[in-house]
Amino acid sequence: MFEPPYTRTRAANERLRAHECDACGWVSFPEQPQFCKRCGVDASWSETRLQPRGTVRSYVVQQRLPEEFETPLPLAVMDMPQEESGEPARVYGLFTETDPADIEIGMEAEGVFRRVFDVAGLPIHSFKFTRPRGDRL
Amino acid sequence: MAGILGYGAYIPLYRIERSRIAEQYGDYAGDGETAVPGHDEDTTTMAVEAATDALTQASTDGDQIDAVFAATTSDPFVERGVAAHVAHAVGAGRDTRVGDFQGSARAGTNALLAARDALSTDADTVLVVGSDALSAPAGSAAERTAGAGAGALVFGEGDAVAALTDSGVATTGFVGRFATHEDVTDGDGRFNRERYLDAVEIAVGHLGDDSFTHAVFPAHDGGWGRKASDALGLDATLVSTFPEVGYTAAAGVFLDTAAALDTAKAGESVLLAGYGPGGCDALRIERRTAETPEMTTDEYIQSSEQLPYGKHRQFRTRGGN
Repeated sequence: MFEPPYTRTRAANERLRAHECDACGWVSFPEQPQFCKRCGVDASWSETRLQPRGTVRSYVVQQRLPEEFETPLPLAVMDMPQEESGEPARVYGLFTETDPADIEIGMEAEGVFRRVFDVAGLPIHSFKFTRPRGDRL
Repeated sequence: MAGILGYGAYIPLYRIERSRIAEQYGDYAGDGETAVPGHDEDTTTMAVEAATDALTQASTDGDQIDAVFAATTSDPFVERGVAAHVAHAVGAGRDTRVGDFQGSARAGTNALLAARDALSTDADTVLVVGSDALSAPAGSAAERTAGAGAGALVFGEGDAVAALTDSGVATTGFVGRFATHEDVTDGDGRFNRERYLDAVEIAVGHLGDDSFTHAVFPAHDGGWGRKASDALGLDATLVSTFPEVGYTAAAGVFLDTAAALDTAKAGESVLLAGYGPGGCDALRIERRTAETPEMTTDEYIQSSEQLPYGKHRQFRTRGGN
């Protein structure tokens, strides 16, 4: 996180800060591009925050990954609602502690704060998704 | 008196039966389970999960927090800290004061007392977290009970669910169990227990009112709480997460307190005796309402998945725990 890219993306990684296009309402996460990816304007963006939960729209199950990942690992395309009103953001979601047999399209998953990887030994933290703990009682 | 607006717990999903660990070495199989952090969990992530539950119950946003204090005995870093990273993750502002309390399981109660003191000077809202993922070498006695978890309390003005009303301190300087980054030394069990009981009795003796409905004695030996309760002549329900979670050092101060608050009714009171190298702090916490956080400590305990020994070792090694 001492490296510039990780310092700059820290609010997105740890606080789910996202950006909403002022022209069309499309929500960009985690990056803040120059042009809106939907309406194509040279965009002005409003800062917004996503809720730490989402709905699974599609997923694949990765069987082979580098050692720092726990396999088999579901990787999903998720819709994450904003804290306030507006469209949800479509994000790429890593799962953790979830059996691939328990994941299905349309299910709600909980965002949990986890270590995603290390940079020179320093942990980079962000949200992963999981089957809610309350459903595992 | 310091009002507690919310509290929260966090226990990792994964557990291992202590008998499974003992079996690997042909040893006696004791009762109970131990919580194992996932490969992507550490003291910071668990602290953030517990803090989020506590802040939700307290209806407090991150930017309202004036200070964040974090207690741990298992920070893998000599220089980095935990409190500032928890503060950032929960959305605290740049003017938030932070403090890291380490070096003893007593760091948990040290942090709580510092929070109380901060409230009487320059802070209106203070988040205190305790988080530990204890390490233990494969095959060591400590491996069976080296647990993981976190807890948090939010102090502030408003509708309190509980209050920290009194405290007593015994700084004896005695060191029983101690740990380096590589190993744990337990020392002479009976001798250590006598010094433990001595410190607890002095600290609790400083409290004005010694009647409690609940008592928690977080300690690395599951039997010490009962001994302490008997020595003090208490007529209180003992609450401990040790049987299901294992020893969680500074985090245990918060986890056991959360478990006691979950079961205490309005008007009831909890004795918290936080002990570690150096001495003991005794705190009196009174319940104002019976409100519990969204996930109780028992619900975290109940939602679990068992690991075989090899997987548990792999997770500990990968996570640096």
